[in-house]
This record gives sequence, structure tokens and C-alpha cells, in this order.
Amino acid sequence: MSVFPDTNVWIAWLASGGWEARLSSRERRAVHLTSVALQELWAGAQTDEHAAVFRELAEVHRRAQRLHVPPAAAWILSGQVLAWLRGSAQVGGARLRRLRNDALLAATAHLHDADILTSDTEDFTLIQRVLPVRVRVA
Amino acid sequence: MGRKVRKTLNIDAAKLKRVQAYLGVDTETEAIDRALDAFDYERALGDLLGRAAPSFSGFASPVASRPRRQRKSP
Repeated sequence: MSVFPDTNVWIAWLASGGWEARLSSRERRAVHLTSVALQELWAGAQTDEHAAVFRELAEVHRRAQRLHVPPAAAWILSGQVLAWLRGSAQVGGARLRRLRNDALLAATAHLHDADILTSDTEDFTLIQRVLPVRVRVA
Repeated sequence: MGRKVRKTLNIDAAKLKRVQAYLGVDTETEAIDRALDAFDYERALGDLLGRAAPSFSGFASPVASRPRRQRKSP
């Protein structure tokens, strides 16, 4: 079992200083970081402390071989998901653009047979209409 | 990666075999190494999250989705 936390989960863990209350020890050992979440975290970096934490976060996961960069297949699959959402679910341009990273995270998780852990299920529920990715609520 | 050393351990052989089978690895050494990796990761990330908290109060990413319940009403 692998767990790919969404960015909002990483932010909650960073702000609260821990993950013990939210995950069992077994689940904690299944956590992996995606470069999708890492990109979104870095976009919010405003201080040297934030930057230092994100560098260490990446290093901890790289060292543990738990840093996942979406392969070409995930980019293609996420594009297909977005095309379906546009064509069959009538999802418009602004929301489609907002869904790009979630679709990429979902495609990466699907290819790794991993669960997504998120506190915002609305967009993933939409994605699940076309991609059978497992989503858990944080 | 740290220096590899030979260790003599008193260990439950049946438990080790069960873990080796569960992980699907070829050797007992690999089974122990994988178990140590998992707990070392848990320790490292827990330590980082604990140290990070004071800097992340109110942190937000401008490109990340937020839980709907945390959004302000119009």
C-alpha cells in the first residue's frame, strides 16, 4: 500500500507539526511525496524557513526513494482525463486549468496503485468519474 | 547510505521469514533493511514536521486546492 498525500494534507501536517493523530504507524510508513505536491508547496514559499523545510522534505523522500515524478504515461493519462471532463462532463476552461495538477496527481497515483489522501475531495470525485483512482479523506 | 557492517542478532527466525515473504524480497538481509528504511523514514519525516510547525502557521499555496469548508463565504 502506498499513500500519496495531496498538497493540502502536507500543509496541514506542516502547520500542525505532526501526522500521528491522522495516520496509523502503518499508514505513515506508506506515505510518498509527489513532485506535483512539492511544486505546489514551493509556490507558497515566502521565507527562508519555508525553503529550508521544502529542501529537507525533498531530500528525506529522495533518500528513502519515496519522491515520485510523474512519468510520461501519467502526463498522457491526465490529459485524457481532462479531455473527457471537457467533452463529457462539460467542465469549463477555468476549472479545467485548476484541475490540471489534481488530474496529474490522480494519474500518477493510479499508475503506482496508490491511494490519494486529501482534505478536498470535490475535484477528485469528479476525476473518479473517468479514472478509478482510490481517494481517502484526510 | 551508511556504512554496511556485519551484525550478530538474536532474532525470531519465523517472524523474519514472515516479513521476508510479506515484502517479497529475496534475502533476510533485504527484509531487515526494508523494515529499517520504513521506520527511519517515519522518524525523519516526523522530526521534520515537528521542527517545521512554527514557520507554517497560516501557510498557504496559491496553486493548491483548499478544503471547501475552509473557504470564506461570499
